[in-house]
Amino acid sequence: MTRGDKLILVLVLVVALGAFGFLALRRQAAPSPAVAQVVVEVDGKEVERFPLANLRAGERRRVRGPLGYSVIEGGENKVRMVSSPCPDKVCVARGWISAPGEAIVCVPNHVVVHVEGGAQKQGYDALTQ
Amino acid sequence: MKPRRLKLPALLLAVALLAGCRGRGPAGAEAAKAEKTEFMMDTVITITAYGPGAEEAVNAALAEMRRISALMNADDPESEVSRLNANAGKRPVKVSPETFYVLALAQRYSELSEGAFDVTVRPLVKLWGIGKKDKYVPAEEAVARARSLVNYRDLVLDEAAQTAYLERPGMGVDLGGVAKGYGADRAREVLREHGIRSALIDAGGNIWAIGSRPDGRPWRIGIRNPRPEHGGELLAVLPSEDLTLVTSGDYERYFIKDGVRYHHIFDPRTGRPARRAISATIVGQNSAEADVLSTAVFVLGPEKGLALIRRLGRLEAVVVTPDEKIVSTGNLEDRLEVVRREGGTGDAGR
Repeated sequence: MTRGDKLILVLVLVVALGAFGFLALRRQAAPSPAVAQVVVEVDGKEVERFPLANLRAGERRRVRGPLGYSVIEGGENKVRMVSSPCPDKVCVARGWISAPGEAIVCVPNHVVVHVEGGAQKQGYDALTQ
Repeated sequence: MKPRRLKLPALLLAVALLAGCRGRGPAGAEAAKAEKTEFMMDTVITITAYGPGAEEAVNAALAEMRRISALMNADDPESEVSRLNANAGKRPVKVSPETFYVLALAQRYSELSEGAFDVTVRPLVKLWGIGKKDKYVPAEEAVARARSLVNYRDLVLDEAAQTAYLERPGMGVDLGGVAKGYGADRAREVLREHGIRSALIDAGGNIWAIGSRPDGRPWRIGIRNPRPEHGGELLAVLPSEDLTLVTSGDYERYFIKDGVRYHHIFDPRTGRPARRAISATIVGQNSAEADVLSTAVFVLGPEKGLALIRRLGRLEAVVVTPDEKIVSTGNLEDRLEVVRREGGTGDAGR
């Protein structure tokens, strides 16, 4: 091998390994965080996201929708809607959610709260209900 | 030296192969993904698509659903259905070919289910106002009056003139049990026209599983457990390729008064919430049809409901009875993975 060959070889290896590392990192940043996250969306846009464990039992957060404030509350690694300015209160009746893929939907106030990631395997892609 | 000269290209090839082989599954597994959620048709709609042009396809599919919602939403005074209702007992109303098609389909299934599903159920929906009024249980005579205004035979559809007419004042068509399904069917067509072969449409619990997952495996579609406090959130999972699943349940919109659950799916023959089932899921390839039939089977109950599905052929059904037993049509029994935890108290923190 000439010196030029070696130089090319080293360059190729560096580029290849760099690409490896980059791709591997990017894959890990795929949408399944190891820690369960609470995701809050209003009108289909994400407005808030935080680890489920960060919401202490009894701690409340307000989410502003077109009708006013929907209020979510933490429990022991779970979350629920405690009040919402909607007529039917379906979202409040939904109770606690904790597993990835579970969601609380307040249609009148356009608020969706769902859990993403975490260790638990969801086991399904969509839910008919 | 020849052997030596070979080393570098060989090494390069090896590196290239290594780098190229760490993808998962076939090419396209890393395909572009687009996902969007919108509120319409009185529910929340999410479309997820994979492949080139996914974002454009999802936007077009949502626009299509908005267009259908504008035609068929009985709560929107500007819709064709609202004009039809406003002219009940007065005059026939000209409607678009799509609204005509959906009205005809809904009327046909009203007949097939012997009125268990009735496209003219709106007077009952308005009287009870489940989800809109606060724990209101109407008096017997008000229920009887509303019930007398519900009769799919009094909807006159004139194919030649493309008109629809409700024969008596006070009558009203409600496409709540079919428009979401029809919208999902149309959204699926739009995605296919955009060349999308892998997608999920979730129209407020009406699911269209289009093609298979990007990794080539079938979509896994969960069926919600109508009583999550008994055995958890999930009733069963059905591996699905090119299938639509629609569920009607008594837990979607309801209130409980004096220990009795009043929900939004009425039996037109009694004028009260139907009591023969607590959940009914239809599996098929036409979401509008599955939407109507999930209501019909829910109202008919397991015995008559499953008999209707078998008679129609090409469709499957899963029914949960009031005592929480799961019954399904034969072809599903082998494919359905029941995951409800028996005897568990679930995780409904009360």
